[in-house]
Amino acid sequence: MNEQMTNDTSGCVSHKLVYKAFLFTLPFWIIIAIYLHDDPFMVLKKYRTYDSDVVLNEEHVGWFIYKNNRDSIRFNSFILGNSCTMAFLCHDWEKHLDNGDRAVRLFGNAESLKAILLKLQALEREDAEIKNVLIILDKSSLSKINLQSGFNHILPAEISGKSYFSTQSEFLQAFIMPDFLFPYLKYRITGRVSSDMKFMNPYGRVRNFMNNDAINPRDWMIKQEGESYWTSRKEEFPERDKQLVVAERAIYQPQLALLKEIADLLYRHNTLLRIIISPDYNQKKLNPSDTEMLNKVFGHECVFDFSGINKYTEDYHFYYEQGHYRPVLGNLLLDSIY
Amino acid sequence: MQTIELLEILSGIFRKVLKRDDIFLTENTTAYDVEGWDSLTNMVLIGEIEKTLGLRFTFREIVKLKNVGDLCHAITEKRK
Amino acid sequence: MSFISFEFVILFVICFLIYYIVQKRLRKYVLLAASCVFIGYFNLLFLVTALFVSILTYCIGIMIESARAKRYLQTIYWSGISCLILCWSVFRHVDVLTGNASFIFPLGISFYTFQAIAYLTEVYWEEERAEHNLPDFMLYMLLFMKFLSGPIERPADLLSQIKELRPATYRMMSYGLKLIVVGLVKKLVLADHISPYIDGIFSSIYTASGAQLLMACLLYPVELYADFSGYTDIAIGGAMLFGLRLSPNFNRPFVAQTTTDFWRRWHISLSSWVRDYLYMPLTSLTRHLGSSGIVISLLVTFVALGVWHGVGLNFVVYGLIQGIIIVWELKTQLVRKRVSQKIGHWLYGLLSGVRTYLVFALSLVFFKAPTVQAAFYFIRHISFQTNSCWKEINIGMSDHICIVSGSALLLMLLYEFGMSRRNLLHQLEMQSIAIRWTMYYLIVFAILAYGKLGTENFIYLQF
Repeated sequence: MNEQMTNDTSGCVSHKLVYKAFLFTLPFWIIIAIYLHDDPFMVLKKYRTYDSDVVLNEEHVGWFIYKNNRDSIRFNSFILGNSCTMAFLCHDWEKHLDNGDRAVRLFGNAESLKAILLKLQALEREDAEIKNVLIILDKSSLSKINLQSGFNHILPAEISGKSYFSTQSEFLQAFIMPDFLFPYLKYRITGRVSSDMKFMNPYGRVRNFMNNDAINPRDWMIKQEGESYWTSRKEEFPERDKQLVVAERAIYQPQLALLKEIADLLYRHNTLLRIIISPDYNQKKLNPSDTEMLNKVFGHECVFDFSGINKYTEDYHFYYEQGHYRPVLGNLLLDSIY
Repeated sequence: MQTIELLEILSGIFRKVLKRDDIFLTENTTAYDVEGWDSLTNMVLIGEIEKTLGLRFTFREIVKLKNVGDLCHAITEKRK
Repeated sequence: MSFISFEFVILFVICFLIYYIVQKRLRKYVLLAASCVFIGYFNLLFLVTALFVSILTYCIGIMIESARAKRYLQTIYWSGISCLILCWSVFRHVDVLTGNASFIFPLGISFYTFQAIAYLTEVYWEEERAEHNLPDFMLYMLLFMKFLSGPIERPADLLSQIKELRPATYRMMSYGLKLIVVGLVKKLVLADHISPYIDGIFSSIYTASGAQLLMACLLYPVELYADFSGYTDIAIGGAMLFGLRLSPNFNRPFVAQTTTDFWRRWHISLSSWVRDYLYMPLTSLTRHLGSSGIVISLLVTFVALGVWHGVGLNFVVYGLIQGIIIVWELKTQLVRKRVSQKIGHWLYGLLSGVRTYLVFALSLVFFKAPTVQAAFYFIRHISFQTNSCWKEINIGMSDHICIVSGSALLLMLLYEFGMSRRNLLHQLEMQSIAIRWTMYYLIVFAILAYGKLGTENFIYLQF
């Protein structure tokens, strides 16, 4: 009888706690339900096309596009690196490769060396044929040895090795943040994306669904505006002062270790590698010690440094804005390196 | 030996070891009541007490002592 | 599974629900089953090792008690202790002994081995009766809330609770939940934000600038404290939900004015363990040497404490530094008292607190650096140059992270100050439901919005 009373008492207490906990967490359950229903970042399920009014995580999208199409397309060539990969379209690169080689873009915004290594390791685990690799880097990417945080930088669990739960929880966390949640709810109610909505994509389709090539809305703007695209955006295209500036060194021991791991992996696969150091609009030259380090690790024949003052960086028409250049320049660079 | 006498001797030892003149022990005194008497100085005090009174405690006997009263009692038992 | 993983949340919730549904006499088996699942989830060998050590300790405890009248008592006790230490040492050094670097050190073994040693010693000293109920003893050893990184529980504290298994009151459960939330704030909002940057400096000692080395040195104690005390809060809070009170592990260590006092406030379950089972017996053995005996005992104790943390000379040096400083404090007690009287207690207290923090921070360089040489290089190259730029001083942390973690640090210090004056969590319970739930929502929101949810491990998991 006493044990029964104790059971009832402790049972009542735990019921009370569970009930109160449920009430307290009710708003979170509602938000989670919306998240699970909408899957705004398109990471909970597989989709045939990755088209969204929400700015998607490029790491996930690229990987899912690869996995969706690898059986039908047999990708063996990979464009890796930061967002400057938008200048290198897969079918343009394929012209320089062997017949039948098919490419996919697996880039990341502000990509780190660590992420590039993990992607290559994931491809290796998938038994992918890594025949050709084109890596687009700059001084900033070369210095980054840690994975970036934030929902638009999280690597898929298959690539990062983290648990599925911890990866998904970062997306859920991003969803709960007011600066995403409120604009998103407004978008859901109104059905319209306005330009002030953070993390929302007002441009419609921004990628090729088969190989993740970029479809840059600025191409349309350039077509419409012509020369005035550049002349009316002086703040995005500041004057260069023609003085050669050498960037600070980026590659130290931790970076070197990652680069060597990348090199070892590509060597194992007999990969044909090309590394392009992007032509920086501000014409800052990559530090010679970094170039030397890259040449030592990968070989002179693989590394192409287009930074500094040269015919590619001189012409502002090659650029969308300071941080990114156009496929027309990308093609010139490909012609140069092949 | 009377407890009062023993307390006086112990107070003298405490003053000598802890280098303070303002120590006056009672049976209920514990380490919390005496500044400087802690785990670092406890064994030094015990060693000095043993040397002065010509006796030896076992480790178990030392650890069981909770206050000065227990110490007086233990000393009295030892001397018997 | 880590405390901040989905799998643990599921396990905990299921365990909690079943615990309060079943009859009282079955509850310990629920906790035992959950503990076995928790341990075995990492690696079944970890569970096997933990079971082996627990059963060995259980048997030796009974043998010690039954051998009481016989001359073999000491032999049995010391054999038992030797077995436990040998087992721990073998696992600690197996990667070095076999050359197989991939061998995984069983999780929690340092903690439950010390717990086992404490138990056997208490039985040997006749302070505790040997436990004859195997399930009770197994739960004492394997309880999942304290298995990974302590607190190291004494039999008098935990075993007695397990035998009774009193159900938690609503107030206790509510307090436990609050403590879990506090732990999550420390871990997710503070420790995990700053740790990648500090770890980055420690892994590139030879290329970091002097200012960066200085900042990493100064910030690492904060990271370690937030991580470990956060874990402890979650462990204690979680145990409270089952009606169990675990021992405290921290008591505002950064207000300590001496290293001696610091170690009474930092990792209390370990420091009190080494005090009671190593330092006290040593000082008893060496008391005929007077103060020299104390010095020897202190140095041996703290070197052992350092070695407990890891293999390598750097851990020995870490422990040795603590011992040397405490010896110095012992020898200079009167001098320091005079200085305090001269410059004023308040100023002296402040300077002493800063000194204690800096000494601990410097000693942690040996704790964190891979080798002694790297640690000495680190210390030699610390720079106080005032012309360092913000980019160096913030060691790569973005302004957002600086603000978030700075705010979290300030909140943590205010919380601990408040708790020392009065129990803030109890105070919160006395407020109206509107105020309470507003606070709860704000804190939970802060964790969800600013917590770094991607990381899964706690620092002290490696020990």
